[in-house]
Amino acid sequence: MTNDTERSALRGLFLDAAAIEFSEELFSTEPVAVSPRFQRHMNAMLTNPQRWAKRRVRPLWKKCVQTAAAILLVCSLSLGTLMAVSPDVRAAVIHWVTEWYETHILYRYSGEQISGELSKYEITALPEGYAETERIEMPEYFCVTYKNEEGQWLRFDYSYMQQGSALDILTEGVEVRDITVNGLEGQIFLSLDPKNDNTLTWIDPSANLQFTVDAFLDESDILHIAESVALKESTK
Amino acid sequence: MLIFLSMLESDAERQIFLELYNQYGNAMLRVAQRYFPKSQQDAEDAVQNAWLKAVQNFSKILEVSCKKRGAYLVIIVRNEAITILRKRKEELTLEDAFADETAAFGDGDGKLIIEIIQTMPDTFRAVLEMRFVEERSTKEIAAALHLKETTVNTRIHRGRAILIKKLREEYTR
Repeated sequence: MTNDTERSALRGLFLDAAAIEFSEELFSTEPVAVSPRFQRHMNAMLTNPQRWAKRRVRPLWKKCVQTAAAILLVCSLSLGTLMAVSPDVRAAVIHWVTEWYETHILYRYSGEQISGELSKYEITALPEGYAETERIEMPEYFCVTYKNEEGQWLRFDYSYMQQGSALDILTEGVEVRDITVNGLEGQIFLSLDPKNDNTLTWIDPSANLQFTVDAFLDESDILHIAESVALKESTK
Repeated sequence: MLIFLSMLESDAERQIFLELYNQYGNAMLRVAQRYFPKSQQDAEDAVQNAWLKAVQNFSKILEVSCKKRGAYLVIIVRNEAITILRKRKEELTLEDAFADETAAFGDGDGKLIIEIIQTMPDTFRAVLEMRFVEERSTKEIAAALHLKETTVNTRIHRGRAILIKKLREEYTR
């Protein structure tokens, strides 16, 4: 055998050994429960694997410096002035902090742990041609994906803003603008590459929820969809 | 980085990646749970790290036949789980001591070659998988598993010798 043949044979052997050893895991059809944060990371990865990977391999020191800088910025610009605003705003502040980084925006939640089911919201103005393809319903996270005939997806999700959770939205290659959805504050992330998806996120402090609509549609269409989101079934 | 940037740029490659995720995403989580039965976060971290490796090494995955790609991903996630455990120096210490001995698992006489691999200690096997499946350098393996480069090279030499000897025996039958 040549060295190349040996290397290839060795690789094949390890792959075969793993396939046998993990056959139960590989062939099981049981669903696996994951955290909302993991689900979001996977959504970001599937949306743009390169962009997701690039962000994850940033050196740790750079992440730390950016985190420290962002937190300082939030403290110096926001917290001081927020003390002077209304009680409603102060209540909202304890639910989340928005941290702006060079490559992403992190909505870090600090609300209390919530038990019980999520209230059910739905898009009431789904664009024509889209059909539901996937639905994830968890105690603190909901996500529904629709697809049209061209295979373009539209994803709507929301989750409780509770301590220990966060929402990351990547900002590389996108323009970020503040926006309001039915009077609620949010941001829209418009991709500079028209082939990529756009994302709109907004926060409802009274419901303690953050909503996201992600689709291959332009700003006005996504905003129209977001404004059509309505409470279908309350659990309160 | 150049290789990384060239990966997953076409729609066809992204489609294959999506299919891999749909087919093996849950399997990877189950494998990670074997190593972290009490910590969902650790299991998810291992899987995320594994997907990162999958994105970065997508061309290598494409070189593997379709029916073996699941095994490739399973190997990556298992080794990422071992990497996390090694960083904490948890649970694998005994196996380490075992694998540091050159006569740790004999020369495999009387066993099928797959059985030899399956009886290897975790960290020993991880070194060989990282080299022969993931094609990582000695330096990268040493950093991931917190081993000296000389230890990595010794394990690669030792493991390769055992497996090649067995392979040649089977090849000449």
